Amino acid sequence: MRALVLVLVIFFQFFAVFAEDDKKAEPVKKVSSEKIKLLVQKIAAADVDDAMAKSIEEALVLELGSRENISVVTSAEMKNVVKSTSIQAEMGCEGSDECLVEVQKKLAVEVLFAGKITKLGDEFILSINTINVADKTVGQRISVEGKDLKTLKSKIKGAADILLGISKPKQMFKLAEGEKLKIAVMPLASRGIEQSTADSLTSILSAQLNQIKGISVISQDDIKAMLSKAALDSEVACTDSMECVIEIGASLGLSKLVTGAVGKVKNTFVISIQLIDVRKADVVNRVLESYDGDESELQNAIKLAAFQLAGVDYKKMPGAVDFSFNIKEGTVKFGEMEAALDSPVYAAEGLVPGRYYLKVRADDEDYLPLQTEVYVAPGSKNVKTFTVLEKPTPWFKSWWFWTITGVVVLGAAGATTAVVLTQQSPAGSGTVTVE
Amino acid sequence: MFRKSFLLLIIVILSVSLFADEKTGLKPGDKVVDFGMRKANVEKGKLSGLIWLGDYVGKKDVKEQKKVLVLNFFANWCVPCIKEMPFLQKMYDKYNKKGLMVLSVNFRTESEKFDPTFKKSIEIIKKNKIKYPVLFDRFTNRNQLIYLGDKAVLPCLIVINGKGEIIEKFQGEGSHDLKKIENVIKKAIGE
Repeated sequence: MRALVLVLVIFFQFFAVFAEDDKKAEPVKKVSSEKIKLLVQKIAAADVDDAMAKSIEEALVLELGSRENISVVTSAEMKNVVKSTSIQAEMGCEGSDECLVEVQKKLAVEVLFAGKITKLGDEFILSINTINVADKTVGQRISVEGKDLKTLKSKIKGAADILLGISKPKQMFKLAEGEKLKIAVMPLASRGIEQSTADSLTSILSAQLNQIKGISVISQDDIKAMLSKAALDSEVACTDSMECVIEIGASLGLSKLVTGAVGKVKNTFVISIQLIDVRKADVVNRVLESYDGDESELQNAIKLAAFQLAGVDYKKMPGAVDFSFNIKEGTVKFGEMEAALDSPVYAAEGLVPGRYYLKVRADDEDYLPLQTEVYVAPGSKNVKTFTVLEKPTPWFKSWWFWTITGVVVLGAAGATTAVVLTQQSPAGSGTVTVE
Repeated sequence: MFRKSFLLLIIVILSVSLFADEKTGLKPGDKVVDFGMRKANVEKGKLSGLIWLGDYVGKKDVKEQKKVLVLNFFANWCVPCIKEMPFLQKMYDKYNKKGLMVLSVNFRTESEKFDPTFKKSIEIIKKNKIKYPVLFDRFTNRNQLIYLGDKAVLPCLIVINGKGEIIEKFQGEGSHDLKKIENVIKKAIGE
């Protein structure tokens, strides 16, 4: 009898647990059934045909629009809305891009999809990220690579799944606590920048990885010797770089190695590095950093990339900035922070490592606003001097304009006087009649 | 004067000992140095996937744990090396199921270009009906020299146990005693 009661109790408890689980699962279903409004912004193209960027944007809109409970607003639709006179009047803007954010709020757009397509070597790189309109925070970020438009398009579905949180991104490499990793860093390829710059960045990347606990980077000498042998031996066709890299890594007895490229496309600098599992012949982690700024920022960007590549939690390693300017008064916008500038210096500490947007405006109207992107590398200080450029003097205020004007006026005055004087009847002239 | 001579003596001893170590390569009792090399696909006459030493011995998570690994080094111009290939194939056929693995590694000098060397090796492999993996490194002799030593004396046959320790090294004239080699393999397998 006691046993029967016990069985019944267990039976009911078992049901109670499952009922509880069902209750817990309910909110997830509820959230997924809510309709979400997304805005797909124009995909920015850097050294890539605009038509290609447009095609990618269309593919993304189609992909997102085909999902249940998602309504997509395109950038063109949004601009049309902004152009509408009634909205302009209401929002007090004149179709500017800044106004878009306000319009997004008005149209109840919750998530913004922003993207950029660039070309590095033979590869097209498409990076897309989501922005939560309410709090302006960046959500998921993903980059896909492909040799042509078709390949890129085929990867959009997977990228959309990850960005929407439907599927988890591929588990990328993460250096485990206490794990020891011996790796090699292959010389970074240069695309549109000096090879010497790429070589220095290879050294910085190696040094930074070597400083990460658990990682030891082998000397570049062995790799260089092998690469030079590959280059010398013309019969060895090292056309497929991945194949070569893996072979070199295996010969060195390494399980993992780093390879990549650094490039410049118009004003955008791009760093693309991969961690390759030599045994599996597979990319286990990939880092893509791109920014519009100064070439010297590549150093900080590659330091950050080293931590990302190793899968180390660098967000707990704050960095700092110490910027100097040639102006004494103005305003500084650094990331989400805005401050008045009352000295030629701006400093900030305890910053989460990453890429920051910097905008400096001088009070004096004779200066152009400085806009650039800078990096805060984990545990380091970015010390830099910026020059806020003066506005070019308008032509009508320039010395040469006034000199020429002066010469012309004086010349004209002289010429007029000469003409007037020559047109008067010569003295003593007349008609004399002799009878 | 005495101090100078003493210093010179120390330098000489150090250099000799250093060079001596470099010349001999890995020796019995040493742990293997893991590496991966591409295997020859004899039928297609091309290189195929990577084969790692660590796939068979010396690691906890080996792909295919073997009791014994015979690591053999050969060069196309090394007649005794080619001569011992059928013997190694015989050993492979006889003891493979009992836990023996044979890996043969090609060695080429600086003057030997890869493509003709590989082509010639394929002919040798075909002629001797070799079925065990024959490995090639297109870029370097780095691993070959680690095992063979700086002088790269051939033929060379190294017997390694499942833990990845070198049991015996037969190099040069020593590798002609095929009976002894078989006995070492048999003992290591536990026959």
